[in-house]
Amino acid sequence: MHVVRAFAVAFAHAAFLFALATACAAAAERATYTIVDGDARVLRGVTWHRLEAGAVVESGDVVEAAEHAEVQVELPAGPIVRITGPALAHVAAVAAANAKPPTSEFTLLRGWFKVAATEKAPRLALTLPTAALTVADGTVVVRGGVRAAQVFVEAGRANLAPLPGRAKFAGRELIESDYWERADERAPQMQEGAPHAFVSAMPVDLRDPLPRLASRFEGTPPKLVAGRIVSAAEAEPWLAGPTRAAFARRFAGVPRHAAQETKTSKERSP
Amino acid sequence: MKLIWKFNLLLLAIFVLGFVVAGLVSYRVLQANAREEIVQNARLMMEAALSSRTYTTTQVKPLLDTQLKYVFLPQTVPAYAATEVFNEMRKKHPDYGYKEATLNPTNPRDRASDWEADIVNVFRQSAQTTEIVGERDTPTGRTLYLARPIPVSSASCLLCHSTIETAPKTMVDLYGPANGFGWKMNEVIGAQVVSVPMSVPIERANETFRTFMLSLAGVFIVTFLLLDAMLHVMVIRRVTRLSKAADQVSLGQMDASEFKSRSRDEIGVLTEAIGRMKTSLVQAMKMLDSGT
Repeated sequence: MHVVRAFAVAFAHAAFLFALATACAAAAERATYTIVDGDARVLRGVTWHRLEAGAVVESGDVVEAAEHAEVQVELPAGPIVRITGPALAHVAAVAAANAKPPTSEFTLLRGWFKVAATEKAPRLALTLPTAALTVADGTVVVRGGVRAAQVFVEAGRANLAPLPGRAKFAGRELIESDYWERADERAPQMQEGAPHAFVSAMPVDLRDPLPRLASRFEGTPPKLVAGRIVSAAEAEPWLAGPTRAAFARRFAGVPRHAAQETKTSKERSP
Repeated sequence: MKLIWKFNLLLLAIFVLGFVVAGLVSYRVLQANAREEIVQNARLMMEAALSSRTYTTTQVKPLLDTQLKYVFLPQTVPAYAATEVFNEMRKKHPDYGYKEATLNPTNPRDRASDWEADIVNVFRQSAQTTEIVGERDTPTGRTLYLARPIPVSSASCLLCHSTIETAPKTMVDLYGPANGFGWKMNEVIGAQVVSVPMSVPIERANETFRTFMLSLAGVFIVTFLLLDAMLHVMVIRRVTRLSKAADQVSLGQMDASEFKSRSRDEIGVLTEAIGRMKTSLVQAMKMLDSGT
């Protein structure tokens, strides 16, 4: 009898430890919004949700950060993307830690971004307004604007390539301290070190290393509060340029008429 | 010359001699203590500066390394940190000073002045010299300085100061390419110079000296007066009275005052002896008178 009780206690301990380890592993394997500071929201399907720290990142999320707002995305196995408002970005794909091909994809439409990837983690593929950037092992600060992009490699290396179907330029590898920029279809400009104008405009918090906070969000993720559906004006940037193919079907049901838009907003807003 | 005058002259000579010797010795001791206190203050300041440098190197700079890639932050430079800490202190104590005087500095404010360059050159010429203490006159008064060499002891120094090509671009952007390069390993490139005003400790020592000498003079004067009074009461007055009585006896006035003393000291014993001598003299005189 005594032996049975001891066995039961040992089994209970083992089960608890297994559950704990499973929960930690699950948290480490999911992509999480680990910093949400200021006014930030996420578009899932065609509905906006108020963003909260700890929420799970889903493929297809469109993140909008208002002026001075900050959002940090931590991906499985370590890559980090910091978004500083005013900014608009699309999480095209979230790669699992052992995914094949091991690449998480983001489209950075406008705003300031800092991304960090390590050699052992999935790569980050970033679609910028004027180039495609891949970061496999490095830390890069990116500024996206209207048909313009600026890239500074803070550490490590990154690869630049032209966007499919756009004016070609010679793809190249950028190394630490390389600065690259391209506006419209003009030839890219490159120099060593970030220019003064770039550094002056850059949000100060992006000068610091990106913190790893995913371990703080190992519990049940919060349920995001749904708001109104996306408006035609908000959908319009995604329906032009390289993201059109991905968003045309998604936004097919979005009302085009202003009156209908207002009515829908009143019905859906909390 | 009266006994009191002889005694007073001798006492005065002893007191003056003692006063002068005590004054000389105490003045030298107080001045030496004051200077030692200033040197200790300077050493303490030097240690504080070294602590600021170490704190900056080991704790502040690692936190700001990433930011240095965007803009050069002089706060990560040990010399800048130590100088700024003392600049804050100088707001309350403007007479104190700290400078990392350098022959070829990156920051122009660290450039060594003429007298500082002389000190740096002494360190450069003599590796055994690890500290120099000296005094100099400044517009705010006499100042003691304590200097120690700044050698290039770490390869990390050369990251910013060997060549323009290896220096961080953000640093060159801020300070320009003209100065602060060409340093070599183990070369003495400057000196930490701490300046401490001498006026306050020296004035304090002088004040202590004045108080001590005035107290000593007061003690001498009181002692002098007390000794005079005691000499008068215990010796001179009694001897004068005894000599006056003896004088009357010598003139045949045998009924003069009695030679009696309540004291058993030497003068008391002498008085008693003269009294007995007078009694014997009176009896001898009576025997001579009855014989004739």
